[in-house]
Order: sequence, then structure tokens, then C-alpha cells
Amino acid sequence: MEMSAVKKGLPKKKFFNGTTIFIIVMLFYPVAHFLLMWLGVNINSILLTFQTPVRGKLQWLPLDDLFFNYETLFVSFQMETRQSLFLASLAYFVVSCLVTLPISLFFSYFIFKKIRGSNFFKVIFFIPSILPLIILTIVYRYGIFSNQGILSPMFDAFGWNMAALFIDKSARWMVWLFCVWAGIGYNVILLTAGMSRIPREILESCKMDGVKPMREFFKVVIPLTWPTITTLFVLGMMSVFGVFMQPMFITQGQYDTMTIGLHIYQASRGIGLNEPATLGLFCSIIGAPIILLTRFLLNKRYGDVEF
Amino acid sequence: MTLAFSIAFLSTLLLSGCGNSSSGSDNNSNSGGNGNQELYICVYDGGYGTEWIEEMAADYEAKTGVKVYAEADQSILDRLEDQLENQSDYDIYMSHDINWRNFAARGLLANLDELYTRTVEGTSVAFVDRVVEGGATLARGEDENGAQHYFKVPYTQGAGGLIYNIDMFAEHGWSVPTTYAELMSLSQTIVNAQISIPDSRENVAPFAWSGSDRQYYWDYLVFEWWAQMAGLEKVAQVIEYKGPTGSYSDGYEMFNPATYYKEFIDAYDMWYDLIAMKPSYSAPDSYGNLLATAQAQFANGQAAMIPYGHWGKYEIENAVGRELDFDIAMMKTPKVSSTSPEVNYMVGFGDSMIVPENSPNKEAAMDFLAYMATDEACYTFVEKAEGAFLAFDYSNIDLSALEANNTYIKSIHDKLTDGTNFHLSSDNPITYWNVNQVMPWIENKYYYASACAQPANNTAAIVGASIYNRAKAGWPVWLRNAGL
Repeated sequence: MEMSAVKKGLPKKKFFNGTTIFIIVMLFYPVAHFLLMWLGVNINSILLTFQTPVRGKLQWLPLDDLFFNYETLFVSFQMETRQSLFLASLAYFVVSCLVTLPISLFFSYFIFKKIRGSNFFKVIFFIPSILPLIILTIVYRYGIFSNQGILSPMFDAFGWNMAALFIDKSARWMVWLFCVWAGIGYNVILLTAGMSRIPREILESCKMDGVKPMREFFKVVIPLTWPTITTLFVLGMMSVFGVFMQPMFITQGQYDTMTIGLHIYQASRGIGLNEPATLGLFCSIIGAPIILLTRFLLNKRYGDVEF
Repeated sequence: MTLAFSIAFLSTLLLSGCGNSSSGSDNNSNSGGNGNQELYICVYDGGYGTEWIEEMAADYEAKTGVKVYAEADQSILDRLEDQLENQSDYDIYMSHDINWRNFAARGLLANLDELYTRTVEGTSVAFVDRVVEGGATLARGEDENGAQHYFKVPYTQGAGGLIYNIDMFAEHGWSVPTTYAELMSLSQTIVNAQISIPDSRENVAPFAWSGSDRQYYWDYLVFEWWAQMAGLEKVAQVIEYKGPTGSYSDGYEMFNPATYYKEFIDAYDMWYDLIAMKPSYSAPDSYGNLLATAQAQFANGQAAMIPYGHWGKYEIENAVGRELDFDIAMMKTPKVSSTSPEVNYMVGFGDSMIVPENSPNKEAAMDFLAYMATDEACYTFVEKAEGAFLAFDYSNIDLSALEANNTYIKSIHDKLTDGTNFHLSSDNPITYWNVNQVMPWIENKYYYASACAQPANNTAAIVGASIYNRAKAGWPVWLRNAGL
């Protein structure tokens, strides 16, 4: 009785009051952005897989040949160039997750422990992260590893052919080397931030118990920064599909350095958008569950870190 | 107040996303106000330099009163399609690699039929006859409705091959080779001579070249050997890319190394034996060298020859920042054998001068293109571009004053006139609806640098099989893209 009397006394609240309108207005742009730039783009990409360019204009495929693009894609897997594309892309899983990430972990730990020289390494690793990629690749390709580069006298002294480094089979190693060099800094930034959150008491306790640095690294630091490591691992897996600028700037995709991302980028500049759309959709269907499963399994390893 | 602020904020966000979609300057949008008194031209900033267009523009303005604004831009090819589709900043574009047939079929280019009927000033020759042989035919394409019209003017007629150091040859008593066997012998002679290079442990090498940036310059020799062995008729048949039965569907058979493409692979094999199997014939690190390095090696006398196109003199001197202190010339490509026919592969013959359909100054653009066909303009181009020739008939243009003092210009002129010129531009729709796919090196993949790095993996047999297989695999998709 009292409640209803109180309820009766309250003025009726308008739905479209100032607060609601403010929320709607502030959310309008990000929601519109999501609808247009994610949902719309992806729906359009799916629709593109059922079209084909004919004399410069995209047309819908006939019903009896609706899956032409998919058939062409699967047939292309038998081609050496397509196999090379996938192999070159898969290599970035190894480069990012199994090489760059472990190296970054170790260097992050050294910086975190403020071991002698850590400030110098901090600068060395951070510089590639703040410079634009195009400048880094130019410095790498022409300033370091060329006949006029700073390493040229050393290579000459050993009789090594520096010019051959970016030709044929060694070209992919040079791209991978660049990715490791330029990728460490980004990982170190995130990992040192994660390590700095470790409670000082835990580390002091380790010190008092006489825990050696390597044991501390594997038994304390890694578990406590596991969420950051997981994130970087997942990002590394995604680089299989996303890497394109490095091979584009360093080798222009020649000598089996063409990746899925670079191929999609180059193919999307023409009229035949159906082919990169189909390849992209295929990679998404295959890659997304694998990445999500990996993330799930990695998260289960140490559970949620709370401190 | 909150509502008003929110609406104002949102409006600002939305309006900031709007903007003019056209890139580049608004040059051309101003020309409407002056009618056809201004003309805007964009040339690809490459090996011809800009002095020729600046002088031509000045001469044209003095003659006609039309102000010509000419710009050189290396990035124009990246922006060209967008400009043709939306708003063009220029009335004429001049460059290589313009996919003009594709643009014409989409209604993006102006119809130039009227230009080709004009009489060239100072002559009694129609423009269509002034264009170099074969050029006018290749300038015709289909519009959106399938009707044939002229949509471009050929830009240059070209020559490519080996540029050599005349002074070095004279100093050491070397003869210019006329056959492949003589070229091989000369290369070995140069190596054996062990001519030391000052301040270097290296000796003068027969060839300097850039495997990193310009390996395709070797095409200028390989294509001519191909034409000599196969005959021009067979080469013309191959580049039609129609199958043995004359249909498009099995056009990939033109790449069969056992039949139609045999001589092409044989020509590659000749290059392979000369360069890939003889590392000592190339300056150190040539197959990985940047273009600047190769240019410097030749300019500094570290190599006797360099494969290049007709723009070589201008580009090399521009790169090293000085005039060469020795005379150079482009030799006629040493023939396969002494009985082989004399041919010249017209490098850059597919280069184009186009007028966009959305240009407000189409008439003025055609006037300028007609002017370029005059004796005066043709002479200016050769003089200022130092050896490049416009794609017009030079037979009645007196270049003796230029040639008397410039061995390079004379050698290019000789190469253009002393043999049978041929080109590899195809009018098969499969070539221009699939950019950089159907061409002598399928999918634009070259093997020269790789062959030097890994000779065993890039033999003629392996390369021939790879080209054929890739052509067969890609053919169904390319056919469909071309509507064939």
C-alpha cells in the first residue's frame, strides 16, 4: 500500500530524456562505424565471393556456377604459387610465436631485472617500434644490407656476397630477420608493462628464499604475465594472415615471400575483388576457430592472474 | 544544453568524414574558367627527363598562346585510374603501363578519331600516317559499346640492348660483336685482359646490370634472339594468345616450350649460358645490385657494357650526377648467327599518351598531340631526351646536327631504322583485362636474378615448364575475366 502510494506520487519518467539522448548520440558514431566498417564490409566481402569481373565490371555468377570462385580457389591449392603463398604465411607463426616472442620474453626479463646494459637494449628495441615501417625497411634494405650499407665492409672482408641476400632463397630469411628485429620492441613494451605489475612482495619473497633468476623467470614471472603472453601469442598467430608490408617493402613479394595478406592487398587494387574476397573468407573460416581454440587452451594453462 | 552540445558534436563528426574524393591538385577544375586557354599535362617522371616537355610546352605556347602546364610525376600510375574515374587533374597523361584498352572499354578515355584525320602541320601527311608503322593500328580499341576508335597516341618507339663504352673498346682494340658467338668471345677476352680498376681489387667486367631493380633489361636481347630464331610471323602468332585451333580457350598452348614457345625458351637459354653460367662476365654482385650501383659501375668504367633501354644515356648521367666522360652507343644486339635477320624490339612501344573522357579541354589536348607530331617537336624530344624517339615517322626529319656530336643518338637512330621493328603488344582482351598476367613472362615473373643465384633451379627446361604450367593453371580465370 505504501509502495503504490509512493509510486503514484512519482512523476512519470520520459524515455527520451536528456541522458538517454546523450547516450544515443555518443554511441551513434561507434555503432555506425561498426555497422559500416565491420559488418557491412564483411557482408560485402561474402557477397563478392559470388561475383566475377567480366570486362571490368563485377557481375553475379549464374546459379549453376555460383561457387566458381570457391572451386577456383580449391583448384589453385594444387599450384606451386598458391602453396608457396600459404607456406610463406604460415612461416610467420614460427617467426612471431616461436622466435620473436621467446626472445622478447628473455629481453623483457633482463630489462625488468635492470641487468647491466638493460637501458641500452631498451633503446635498441623501442626505436623500431616508434619509427614508421617504411623508414625501417629502407634503413634495413639499403642502409644495412646493401653494397653501400654499414655492414658492407664486414661482409666484403669475409668474402660474403651481400647483394645476394635479397635474391632467391635467402630473400625470405631476410624478411623474417627483419620481422624479428622490428617485432621484439612491441612485445618488450607489453611484456615489461605486464612484469612491472607483479607485486614486489612476491619478488622479494623469491629473493629471500634464494630463488635463482632462471627459476624465478619460469616459475613466477611467466605464470604471472601469462595473460600478456597469451595475447601476444594470439596476435602472432593472426600475423599469418596479416603480414603484408614487410615483404612488400623489402622484396615486393618476390622470391616466395608473397604472403596471404600481401596477395589480398595487391589483388584488391584491381577490379577482380572476388578472388581476394574468397581467399580472405576461406582463411577466416579456417583461421578463426583455430585461433579461438588456441586462446582458450592457453588461458586454461595458468587460469586468470589476479593480484 | 547537453542535447544541443551533443547534436553539434555529432554533426562535426559526420561532416569531418565528408570531403572531396579526388586526390591531387585542383588544377584542371580551374581551367574551365579560362576555357581552352590552358592545358595540363602529366608525364611519368622517368628516363626521358622533363627538359623536352618544358621546351615543347614553351614552344607551343609561343606558337598558339595556349598556356601549357606540364608536370612530371613518378606516382601517377598509382593515381591514374582513380583520376580517370572521378576528376582528372590533367588533360593528357603520358606514361608506360597505362592499361588504356581497359580504360577505353569502360568509357574513361576520349575518342581521338578526329585527331588521326588531321594533317600534321608543316607536312602534307595525315596524323594517322605520321604515327610509326603499326602504331596507329595498335592505338585502336573498343569503347563501352564495342565500337572501334582511336583512344591513344603511341608515346615512343624504342630500342633496347647493350650500351657499350666506345672509348674502352677503342683503347683495348675490341670490336663490337655482331653475333652471339662474338659476344661470348669478347666477354671472355675482357675477363682474360684483367684490366684493373683504380682503388679496387676488382677488374673491369664485361657487363654491369641490376638484378634487384632492372633484371628485365635483359629482355631487350632475349626478345630479339627469340624473334630471330622463331621469325616475326611466329612471334606475332604467339602474342595473339589464341590456341592452335584459333580459339581463346586453349591460348595457353602458345606458352608450350615444346612447340610455340620453343624459341623463346631457347633465347632464354642463350642468356643463361652467357650470364648465369658465367658469373665472371658480370660485375660483382650484379644479380643483387641496385640500379644505382649498376649505373655507377658502368659510369665509372668498371664494366664495358650495360643492358638498357633507349633512355639509358639520360638516366645514367642523371643518376651519377654528371655527364659521362666517355662516348657511348647502343650496339645492335649480336645476332643468333651471322645469317639471322636484323630485328629491333621496340622497347616501350606500348607506352601511351591518353586524354581522359572527363577532361574539359579535349580539343586543346588533341591540338597539342597534333603538335607533337611536327618535325620541330620530334626533334626537340630526341635532343632533350638524349636518344629517345617519339612514335612518329622520323624519315624526313634531319637529325644530322644532333648525330654529328652524339654517338648515342646516332646509334639509337640506326637501330630503329636498320632492321625490322617488332613489338609484343597484344590486342587480345585476355591481356588487358588481366593486368600483368598474360605476357611473355607469365604473371610478370622474371628468372634472370634467380638464375644467377641458383643456376641449377632455373635452367631453360625448368623455366619453360614453369611458364607453361602457370599459364595453363591461370587460363580459365583469365578467360572469364576477359569475358571470352
